[in-house]
Amino acid sequence: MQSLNEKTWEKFDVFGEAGFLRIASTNSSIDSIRLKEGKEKTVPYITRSDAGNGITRFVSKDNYEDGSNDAGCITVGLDTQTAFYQPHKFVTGQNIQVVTGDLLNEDSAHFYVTILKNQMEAKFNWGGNGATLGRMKRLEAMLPTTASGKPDYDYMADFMRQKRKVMQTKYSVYVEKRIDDLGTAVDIPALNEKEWKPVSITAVFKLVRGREGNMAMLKDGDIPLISAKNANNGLKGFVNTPKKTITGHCITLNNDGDGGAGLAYYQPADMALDTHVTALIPNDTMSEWSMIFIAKCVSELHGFFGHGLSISNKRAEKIKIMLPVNDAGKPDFGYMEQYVKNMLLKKYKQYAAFLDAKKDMAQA
Amino acid sequence: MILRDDGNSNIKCEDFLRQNAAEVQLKGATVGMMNPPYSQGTKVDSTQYELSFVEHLLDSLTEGARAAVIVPQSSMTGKTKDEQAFKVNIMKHHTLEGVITCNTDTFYGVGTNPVIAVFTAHEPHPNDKLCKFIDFRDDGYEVRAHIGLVEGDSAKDKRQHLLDVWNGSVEAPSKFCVESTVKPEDEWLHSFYYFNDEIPTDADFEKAIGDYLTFEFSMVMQNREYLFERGDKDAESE
Repeated sequence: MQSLNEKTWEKFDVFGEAGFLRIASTNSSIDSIRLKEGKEKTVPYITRSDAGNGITRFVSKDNYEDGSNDAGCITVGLDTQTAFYQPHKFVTGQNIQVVTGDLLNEDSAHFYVTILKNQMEAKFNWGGNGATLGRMKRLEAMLPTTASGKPDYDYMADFMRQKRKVMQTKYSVYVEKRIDDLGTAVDIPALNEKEWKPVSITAVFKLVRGREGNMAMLKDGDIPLISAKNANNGLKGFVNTPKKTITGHCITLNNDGDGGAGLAYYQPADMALDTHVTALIPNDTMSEWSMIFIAKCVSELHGFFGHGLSISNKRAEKIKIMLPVNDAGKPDFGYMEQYVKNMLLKKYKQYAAFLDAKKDMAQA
Repeated sequence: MILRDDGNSNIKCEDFLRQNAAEVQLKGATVGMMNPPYSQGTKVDSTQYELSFVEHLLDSLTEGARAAVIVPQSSMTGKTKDEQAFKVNIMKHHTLEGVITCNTDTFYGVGTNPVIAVFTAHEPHPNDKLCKFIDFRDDGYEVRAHIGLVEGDSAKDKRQHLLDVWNGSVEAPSKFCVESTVKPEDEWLHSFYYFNDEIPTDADFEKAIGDYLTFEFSMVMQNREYLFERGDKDAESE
């Protein structure tokens, strides 16, 4: 396939009579307080948010009564200049535009999303200069062309299909290796069949406070910067030359802030650590899987601590967590390890099966 | 001069809009500068729109005088009918030279995206005039925590570059400066005339598809595979 630079690119209208896509206001535009609560929350509720493909949460199908949008289109957020492909029927909040087109499919859509964002981010901004319908309709974009000077729709779709294939293959290879490493699932007692006992954190871990106070001044690099976040395993970014590098293969515990106080994550790699986070370094050898299990048990502290009651060193030393124990009353690390291994196997296989099913569908 | 009241001060505490433009004109001002009150205009009192102040200022200057005003970008968009009317009127009597989009932190602490519009007074705007629209959001000033807006190392060079481009001694890419003829109903902003002619890179596309696969993966991990089972199937839901 030709690379992007080898193609000839020209300027085209995106929307309007000469355009290849259509844009209109959303059909639903449901204010979040007017959303109907129902039993099964399966319908994506799209807003202008930039995270999670624009999905703020899932809502009930009852909301279709107030209008809905069909699958296979692109949502555009006014003011936030977000653009996402939506694979499923959905409802939206206010100020969402919906882009449709005859040539829009799961592959080409991602090409268009990039093209749209490229223009929108360059032209629009928050504060009265957002992606309104009027402004969007004037939008022009550079597109790769065929020999006859028309937009090369096939190329755009093929290009994205290939990109996706490469990335999915990369992931499949990774998953296969992980599944090999994990071995086969072993039957173990359920969580509630085990005996649980309180264990003092300091009995198992050494506590080390983070040292990066002025995170804004750190330069971009390759070392993960872990801060007191409530999502994404605490990963804030990648930096260079931290004050102190904490050796990976440990648990990090958020002391306060960002709604994440008390949450704990397993950290596989060496990292820079925010002052609002404490690293729990195992006293004895401990497997990655046991630590993933324990991190979840530590995270039960979430909600108890917060602004006003942060996890100071003094408090941390007194914290006890519930852990499954063996017949001798000691933490049962073997059980925890196998439990996590079983769960990982299940989840890895779930995604592998999803990819396989998709492949079959494409061939059918 | 004000404190000593020695009579040399021309600073006055009065309602500008009530001053007769023709009388102010007699003072012979060749330069006008203004930071009018923001967001006071309403349907009921359209004289409080920023553009109303701007028009009055232009009317009050001598023929060929220059005026620079700093206003919110929404004034240049001119959403309301009244603002549209002001824009038509301004162009009928005065010339728009160009508009410079400022750093969004210029008034750090208040959420305003200001622009500087430059006019020549009492010369009707020629239809074929090329105005300069400049994106000067990156002006080299940075916000420092607890301190506010601070001049960065590059600010002086950037200011000089702006002047060079404005004076036409240096060519700039369209990302920085677009020259265009102007109609009253246009949005008088760089972003309106600008078109991003840069071709997206492999990395751009990789990010787009990577984000989507991350989303797909995270949804499958939350047991929401159904999202990707070809959406049209969902039509049979009820």
